Amino acid sequence: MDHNMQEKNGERRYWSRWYVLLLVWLVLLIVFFYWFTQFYK
Amino acid sequence: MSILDWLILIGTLLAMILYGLYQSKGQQSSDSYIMAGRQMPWYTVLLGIMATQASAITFLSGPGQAYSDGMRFVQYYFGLPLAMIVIAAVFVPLFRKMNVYTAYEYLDQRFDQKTRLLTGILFLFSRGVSTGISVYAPAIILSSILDINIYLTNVLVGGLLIIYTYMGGAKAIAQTQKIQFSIILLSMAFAGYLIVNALPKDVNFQEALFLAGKSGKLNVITTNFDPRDKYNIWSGLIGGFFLALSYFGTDQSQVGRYISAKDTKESRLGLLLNGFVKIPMQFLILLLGALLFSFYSFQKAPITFNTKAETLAAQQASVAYQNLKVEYNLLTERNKELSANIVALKGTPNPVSLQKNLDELRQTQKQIEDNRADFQKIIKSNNIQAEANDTNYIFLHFVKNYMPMGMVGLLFAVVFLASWGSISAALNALASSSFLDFHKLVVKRGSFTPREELKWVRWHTLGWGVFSILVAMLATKMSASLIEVVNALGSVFYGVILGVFLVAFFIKRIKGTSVFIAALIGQVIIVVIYIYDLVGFLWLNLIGALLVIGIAFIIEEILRNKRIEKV
Repeated sequence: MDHNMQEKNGERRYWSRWYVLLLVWLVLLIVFFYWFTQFYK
Repeated sequence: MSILDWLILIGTLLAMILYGLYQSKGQQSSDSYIMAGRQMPWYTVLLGIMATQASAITFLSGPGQAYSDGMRFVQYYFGLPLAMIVIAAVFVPLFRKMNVYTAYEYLDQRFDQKTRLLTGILFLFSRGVSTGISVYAPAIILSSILDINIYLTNVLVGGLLIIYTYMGGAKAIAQTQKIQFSIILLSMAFAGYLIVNALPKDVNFQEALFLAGKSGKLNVITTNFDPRDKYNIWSGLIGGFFLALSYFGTDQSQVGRYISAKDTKESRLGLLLNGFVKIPMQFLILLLGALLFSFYSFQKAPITFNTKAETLAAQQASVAYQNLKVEYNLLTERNKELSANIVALKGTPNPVSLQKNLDELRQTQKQIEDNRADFQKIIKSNNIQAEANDTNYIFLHFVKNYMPMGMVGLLFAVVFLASWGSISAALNALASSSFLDFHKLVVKRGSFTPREELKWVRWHTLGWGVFSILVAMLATKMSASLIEVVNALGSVFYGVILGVFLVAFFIKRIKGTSVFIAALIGQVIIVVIYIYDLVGFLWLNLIGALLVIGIAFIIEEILRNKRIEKV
């Protein structure tokens, strides 16, 4: 049971990292696009 | 088009059909036909998801949109990564746990059969009609540019792919999509290089961007909030999130792609990586359009990129056309001079002169836009049988007139391949849903052998293929405004379907009857909002979903109180 719980938590942490990474990527893209828009305005 | 281009075009299409047929071998049951035996790795899922979403119009209207309206269209995709996270975290595990074949089958297990049938009908109607339009949309462009009969083009765009889709189902689709999308990406990247290369010798990439930027074409982020405005950061993040959630989470043509993966991990990886690459890809496609704008600033852009429309206008409305053309030629000549001046003055210590040229350039561009709009009025008011809006013709006009031999054929093949990738997935999804959610359920419950099932799903695939071509044929008789209505159908139905799924996933206390009535009422309200054009279409998904959730809550309370009263 403990082993299963540990495995589930580990998996949850693994995917959470992916989700955070994707959110950071989206923010970076928007910041880059904002700079791009202002730079070439 | 040269003989070499025709050979490359025909050769690529034939090779794709043969490859699809090769991948069709070994179909034994509906399970392998609908789910590809649930064996797909993440990269096949990723390319499948991207190829299904990206139709020919994505690659044609993207550059065209940037050319005419600037790059702000990319904001439309800002909600997509957020939706990928929600789908990977919530939707995927539930679909996989229930081991469903179609998204709507899940609703049967969570609610009841009538809710499954209702959402199935909404999906079949909207996806069926929009698949027909996605046959027609590139067909009319190809027909005009290649001067081929529109009925024949409809059959070429919508018919040839049926051969391998009918034979091989999901496996053949996944394998062909992988090749198709790789060819498309490589060709588009090379096209980008050729566009930069085609700029005048004294204009480099930076200067082309400078000119496009000063002409207002590099406006990626727009922060003004206007609910009627289609593309700004708010409608992109919020409206785009709900649109992507509906499309990827509840449209069987996408759900079918990622539930055919080997396991939950592969499904999730495919979806999340789509979240990473979709926006940069769309940005680059739009950048092609901005670069094309700079290119045509030095080349004298035609009054319309739909050459057929110009030829017909010269014949059928000759006086109005000639008068407009004289003024237009003077404007484009001046525009060309000003563009050259601006590039020459950039970086020199003469800001006053640069600003003066820029001011005049913007004024000239405005007059050019007005002239192009006047030309469209001539087309419409004289009932000329050609598309007045030339946005989707811009990229192919460049391809046909300025690309080297061989590349022209390859890029025309790309239009076909992009169409086939998304249409084949749609046909497979329509057939899966109409067979599993209706035929098998209603007509003859559970008494098919695996072979019979395979035979029937193939018939459904063929049926939907013929249906979409018929819709495309009908579209040739429709007015442009009616086609726009049909095009928006997805957004009219998606929100309600999403609302039903969100209730299913997150609000356990609401039961089938409440959500069923809420979906019906919500759908009527959305149609009214759409008819009276109260908000931009991206918001319809959010409103539809919220309506279903809200109304379902109220009805559930009423039904509960009635039950308690009875007791």
